[in-house]
Amino acid sequence: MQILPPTRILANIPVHIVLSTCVLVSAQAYSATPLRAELAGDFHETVQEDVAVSGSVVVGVAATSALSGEATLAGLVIPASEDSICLTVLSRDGVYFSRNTYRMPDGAMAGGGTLVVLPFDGTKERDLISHYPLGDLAVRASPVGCEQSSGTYLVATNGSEFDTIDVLVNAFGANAVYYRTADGAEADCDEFTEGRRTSYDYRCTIPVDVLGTGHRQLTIERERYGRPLGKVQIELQLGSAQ
Amino acid sequence: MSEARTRITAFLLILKDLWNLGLLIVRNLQPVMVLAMAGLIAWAMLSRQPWPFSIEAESEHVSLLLAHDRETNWRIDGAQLCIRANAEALVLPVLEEPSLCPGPRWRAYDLREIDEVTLRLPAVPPEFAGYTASLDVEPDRSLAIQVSGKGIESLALLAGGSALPVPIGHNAIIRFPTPGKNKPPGRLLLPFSGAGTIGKDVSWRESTLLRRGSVALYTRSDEAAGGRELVASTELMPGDRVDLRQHARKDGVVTKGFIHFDLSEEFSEPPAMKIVAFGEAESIRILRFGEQSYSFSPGMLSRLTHHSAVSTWVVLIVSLLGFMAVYREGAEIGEGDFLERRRKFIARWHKFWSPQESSED
Repeated sequence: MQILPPTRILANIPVHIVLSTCVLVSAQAYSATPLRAELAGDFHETVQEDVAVSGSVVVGVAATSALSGEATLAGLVIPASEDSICLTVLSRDGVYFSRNTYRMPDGAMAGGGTLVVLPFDGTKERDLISHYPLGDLAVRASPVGCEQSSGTYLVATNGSEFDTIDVLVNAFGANAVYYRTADGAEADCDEFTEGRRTSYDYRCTIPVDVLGTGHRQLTIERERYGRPLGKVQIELQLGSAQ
Repeated sequence: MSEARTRITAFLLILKDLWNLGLLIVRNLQPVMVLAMAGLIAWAMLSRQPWPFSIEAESEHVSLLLAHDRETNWRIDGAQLCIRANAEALVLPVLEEPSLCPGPRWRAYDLREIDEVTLRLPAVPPEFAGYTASLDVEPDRSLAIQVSGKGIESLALLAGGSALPVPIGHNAIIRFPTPGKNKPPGRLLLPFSGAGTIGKDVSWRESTLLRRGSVALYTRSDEAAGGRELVASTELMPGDRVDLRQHARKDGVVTKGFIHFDLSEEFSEPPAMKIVAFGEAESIRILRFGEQSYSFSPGMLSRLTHHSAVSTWVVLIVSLLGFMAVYREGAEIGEGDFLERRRKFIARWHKFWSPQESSED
């Protein structure tokens, strides 16, 4: 019997078997992690055609691929917190708004790399939400209940790997917005030039390579014709599974 | 003589046959023409053709995305200029006023003592977006412009009629202060081509808005003076936002326009920029406070009656069908054969005027 060297053995395995095995392994490694969080109380949401403007500078924090209606309806994947998570969802046109507290499932460990899925089954506006494309729906998750406020935001994802994080900003009359990382990296944010800009009007797209993982400090700065407006310092918590 | 008359009669009969054949062809084509007309009407109503438009507005805010394929030049005499602190320093008077661009990213220069200063916004390669410009009338009646871009070509300054442009980076803030009391008002005229928005969404976080204006849609017309005819127009309300798109379609006409602003402390009315823009679009998007946006475009009947291609054909077919109806009515009035009637008429005419000859005959 002829003994083949390892390279020849690998070469003889069909390509589609190798690829499907790789996909299966990575998907299992990822999908095994998220636990399902539980909605605390009734699902709260509003739909109003008249103007509703957010009062915060930072309106959304999520992976770029997670800022759509489809990703929200499918259930956002978020790093687990100590006790509960407040998820705020707001459309760019100001029509849709929801804010709900989720309880952490048993076995979820904050800061331990545990990811949780926030189900969005309670919504009655599935049709409206599904029509918001990428960038038109802001999601913001804080590691506290919705009755409390926090400057820390958990970065929401759609469960897949991502390269960039978007911070959606309500510029409050500023005509230039830029971000600065703890390491001093600085870049301009982009203005939404088309469509309604009721809830937010700037998008800061930050590469994960620049930001890093774990707990990261970020400063959002705004200017109006060269005059600085108030800075906003936030802390982002990125899941370690990414 | 008799032979000649016979030939004429035969020729007239040929003409009559031809005429009848023509009428038969038209009669047989009648259903096809009706179907064609219905098809053309449906096409005109459903098709989305671009309409020439004009916008005239007074607004405290304008945002522009300049066309990437053409250079824009603006005269900025009497302005104050800020460029990024990390850009190369300019050989210009440095502005000491702390109120202009006090942020750490900017360095301010005073251009008020320099004549004929031009800001050049260059064309950029098609893979880059053009320069953006944000213009606001400030509460102190000054005009502020912020220009930024990510293209390869830098903004440039041409001072004192110099042919040598000085690069100033990709970002600049230009502020036009009022000339002061007892001084003649300054005037600004800033032409542009590209896209953008006039006015801002109304919200409690900002105070600038569009004050008033109008939008008009036209169609090309050979009959109308100036070669175009008004199809529809609408008045803009305070707080509206009008979106200017760069192209109605890929080979469409780029929106062009200009911004006019008077700088003075002595005008009684609060200042606003006058914006005039021309272009082509299927519709003009207007965002109104408390409503979702709507597209201003001609109604179904206007689209039909002003459709450049369809209206001509519809008029031709309708005319032909109308002619046939008139002919049929005429045929019912004048019954019988024309030649036979003519022969009888001549015989009666002669009988009337020469009764003896007739009786002898």
